[in-house]
Amino acid sequence: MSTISKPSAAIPMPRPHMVEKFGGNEAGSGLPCPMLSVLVNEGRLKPDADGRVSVDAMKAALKSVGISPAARLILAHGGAQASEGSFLDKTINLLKLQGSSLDHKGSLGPLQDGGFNQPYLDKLKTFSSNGSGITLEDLAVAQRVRLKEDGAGVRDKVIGYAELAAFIMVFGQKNSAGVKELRLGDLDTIYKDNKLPADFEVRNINMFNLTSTILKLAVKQNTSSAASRAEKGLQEALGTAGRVDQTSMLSLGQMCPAGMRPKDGVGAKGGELTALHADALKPADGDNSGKTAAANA
Amino acid sequence: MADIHGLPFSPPPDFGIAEIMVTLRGPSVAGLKDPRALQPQRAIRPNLIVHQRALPAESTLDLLCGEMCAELLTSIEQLENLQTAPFPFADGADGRLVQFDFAAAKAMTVRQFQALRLDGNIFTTLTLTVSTTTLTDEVRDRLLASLASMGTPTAGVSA
Repeated sequence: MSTISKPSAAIPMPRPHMVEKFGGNEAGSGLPCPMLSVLVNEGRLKPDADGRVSVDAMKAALKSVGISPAARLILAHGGAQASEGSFLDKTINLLKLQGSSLDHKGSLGPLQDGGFNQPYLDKLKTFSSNGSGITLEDLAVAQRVRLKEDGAGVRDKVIGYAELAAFIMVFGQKNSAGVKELRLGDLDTIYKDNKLPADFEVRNINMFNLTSTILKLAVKQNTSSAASRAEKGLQEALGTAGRVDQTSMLSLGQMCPAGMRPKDGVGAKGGELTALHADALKPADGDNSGKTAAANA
Repeated sequence: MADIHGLPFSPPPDFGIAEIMVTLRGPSVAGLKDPRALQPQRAIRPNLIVHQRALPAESTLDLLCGEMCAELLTSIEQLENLQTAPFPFADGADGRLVQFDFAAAKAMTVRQFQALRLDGNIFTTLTLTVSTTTLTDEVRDRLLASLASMGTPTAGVSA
């Protein structure tokens, strides 16, 4: 038999363009969320030098990439709650996400630890099974690997599902086989340049298709990877087979727009979600996609 | 009425099986392994997970085996002794065997064997989990012979 050993880790680089967008605040380089980084660098979200943006500005920025009222209300709520901003004061502090209750282990890695991390981006690309992009199935394996590397827990995993589902739904493109994927070139644009892909098109992302994608990602992790089968074998051996008693819906109230995960965050309460859904039914900001979203949620 | 692994029901006639996963477990081990020990003792119950699905694109056993090892190396905590070897099935089909140990609990290690078989684009994995402390050469040979008995899918999965 041939024996194989493990690889080693990586060092982040500063992002001067992000520092500039935060009025020279060096902490701007460490914004860990790829979607927020793109929104800020594209000028769709304009934080002050302390990193604060209004909830309304966040909702407008999320709307600009296609996220529906119900989903963006919950995402904005989670961001405000955990980032030393305030949902009541309607502010979110982008520079407080790292280390906040929304911060989490097991992100894909290119923007973690305070800057841009090329080795993690290179590693992410290696999960492409077709050589052109990262499909949902590839993403399931990549996330599983990162969760294990970081020693992440169940909550990290659940929030990660939501994070990656939103990510691939906003930035994914259908390939020649009709399968949605994050194209390898677009990963450079998003993670390294923090720009929208050149042919980016806004899609309507409502609660139903976001949740659907979350569940697909969870199912793929449970059956399609060698590590999943290894873990299932261990659970069966110890008589600790996992219970399906926690859905990624619970995490929606706790995650930030690009999917930070909570350590101690309480997320949205049932009553708050009801209120958010009720609010989403009102076509207050000129589109009616929230009606469909709330009905499906 | 069809009988799919003991599940009697009538699926829609135009529906085909896209994926099969069967989990088999060995006998449970009752009581403590050593009643003199004070620390909690958990018995390892051997089990076998058979998973079969159609691959979306053509592949090779070596490529699949390499991908599997890369994933295992980076995603299983305290993985040790990862080894790969050819694994001929009883019907003469080529196969690969991936073997490794990993921690199940404090001072407890399990050994896992993942046998790989590729019939056209139908990819089958047999994942066998056993305790390292009770695995003798004789038991191992008997269990691997069972894995090797897997044959060509007859009316199995389709893409």
